[in-house]
Amino acid sequence: MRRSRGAVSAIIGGLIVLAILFTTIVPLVILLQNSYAIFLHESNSRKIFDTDRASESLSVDLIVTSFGLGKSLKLLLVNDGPITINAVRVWIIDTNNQAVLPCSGGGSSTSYISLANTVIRPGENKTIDEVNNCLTSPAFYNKIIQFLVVSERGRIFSSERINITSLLSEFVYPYTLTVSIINMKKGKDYTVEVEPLGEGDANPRTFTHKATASNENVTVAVGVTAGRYKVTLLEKGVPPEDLSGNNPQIIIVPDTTAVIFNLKRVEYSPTPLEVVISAPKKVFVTQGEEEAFDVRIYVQLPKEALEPVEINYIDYGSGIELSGLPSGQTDYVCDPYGSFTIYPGQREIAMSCTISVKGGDPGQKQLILAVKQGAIKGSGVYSGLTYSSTEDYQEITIIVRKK
Amino acid sequence: MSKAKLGISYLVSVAIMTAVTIALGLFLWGIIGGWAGVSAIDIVEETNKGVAQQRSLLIVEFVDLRERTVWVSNPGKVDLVILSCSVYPKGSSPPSRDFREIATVKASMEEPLGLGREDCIFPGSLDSSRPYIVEIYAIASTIYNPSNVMENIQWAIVVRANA
Repeated sequence: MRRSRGAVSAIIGGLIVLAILFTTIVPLVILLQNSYAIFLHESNSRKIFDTDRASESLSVDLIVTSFGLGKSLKLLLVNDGPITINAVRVWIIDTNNQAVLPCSGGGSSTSYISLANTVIRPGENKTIDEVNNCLTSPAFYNKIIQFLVVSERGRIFSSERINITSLLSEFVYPYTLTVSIINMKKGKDYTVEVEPLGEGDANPRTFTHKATASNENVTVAVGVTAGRYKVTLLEKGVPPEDLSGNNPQIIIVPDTTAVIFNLKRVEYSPTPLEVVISAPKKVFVTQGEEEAFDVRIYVQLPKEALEPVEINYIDYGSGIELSGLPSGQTDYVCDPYGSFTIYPGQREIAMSCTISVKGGDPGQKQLILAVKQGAIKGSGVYSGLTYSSTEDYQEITIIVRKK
Repeated sequence: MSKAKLGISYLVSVAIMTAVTIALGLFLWGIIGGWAGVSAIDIVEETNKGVAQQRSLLIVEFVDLRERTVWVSNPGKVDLVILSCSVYPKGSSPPSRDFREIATVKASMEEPLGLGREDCIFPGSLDSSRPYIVEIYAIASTIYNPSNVMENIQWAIVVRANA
């Protein structure tokens, strides 16, 4: 009887244990397995994604392409990896300042260039033309830039660092404005300001120079676009008093591409160029034979001259004249020394001549070598005035000996 | 008489034992059921957090030192909540972090998110020639718990990149 009493409880207890097992423990184990499987699946997906990410490889280069007479800048993307890359964005970075260079092409300004449908298959290359609109902005001038291309998987590919100035000069600032300051005072600071009046742009817009010598001259080259500009000269922050001409000067590029500020009100006037002939005083010639000798002709700028002179004209033909001997007994050949600049008080050789004389009747005769007026000419470096040589001659005694 | 008395006490004792067994069994079932339920919730939560962490990915595209902006994007599968962002010189110890909900980065590469000077901690002065480190804590928005900072930090992903 006692056994049958316990058997009922045992059966009920066993049923309850089974119920607990099937309603709680088994579902819990199934849930655990399921959760682990989900996590493992996600973990594998991430591993595959990371492997794909790591396999991406893209080379980024800036190239210049020509079309007819025009040129444009493009970004060349080459997929040299084993998997397809979807490029989504391009950043242009100012590497010196570690800053974004916004793209302001097309009238709007964005921090980056968004790319649409730039899917590059392995081995394929694609060009990004939008960079041309961005780069031709003056903001990029004088910058060292770098391109960062972002892929859809989150990889960032960078280009080499590029000094964009040389590439952009012909795109951004097609004209060069030269600003000259003449006759500066020693020790003073001079500032040139180029201010666009309208849509033009200039780089640099200001330039400061400290004169280290009296009457020093300096010329500054400024990259400009077509437009109207106000060019101002300041001496220690204020417009100089001693100045010939207007200050500021209003110019229109490309009609005018040079501005000269002439300080000290120097009124230039051409001084005559002096001719100095260096020739032997006596030449001995044997009767019936020919003798040749060298003559050097120098040009000298008087020290009273106010500016250097660039010698650019030497008449070595009709500018030289030989007289005193019968025709046919003399001949000459002259070689000019080309174009050169002489400074006040300086003497330079202008030409070298070889004169040949035939010995006639024995005796002593006078050969006259003359350099005609205006045979040597030059132009003032600052004023552009024409400087002309004076006339000069030299007598050479020819002594003919008997054979 | 004695047989009848014996029969009554047998039935009573069987009923009592059965009742006790059922009561104990139900009690045990309840306890185990409760434990299993709590465990199941924990398992699901932990799995969700693990999965969310696997799906989280944040990249620093560029740090603009001039504008003091950190540009980030999210190529992962889940939106991310930025908890802290700091930029500090390479080689020095990071500044103290303030964990709060700074911004949400959508799981899309369509456009990056700029974290400005009010979002990120920057040094007082920045020298663009020096290397910097950017450190960001972010958590998947699906497991972000605004009321439990420590749990957010535990499940956050940390991104450190050269600026």
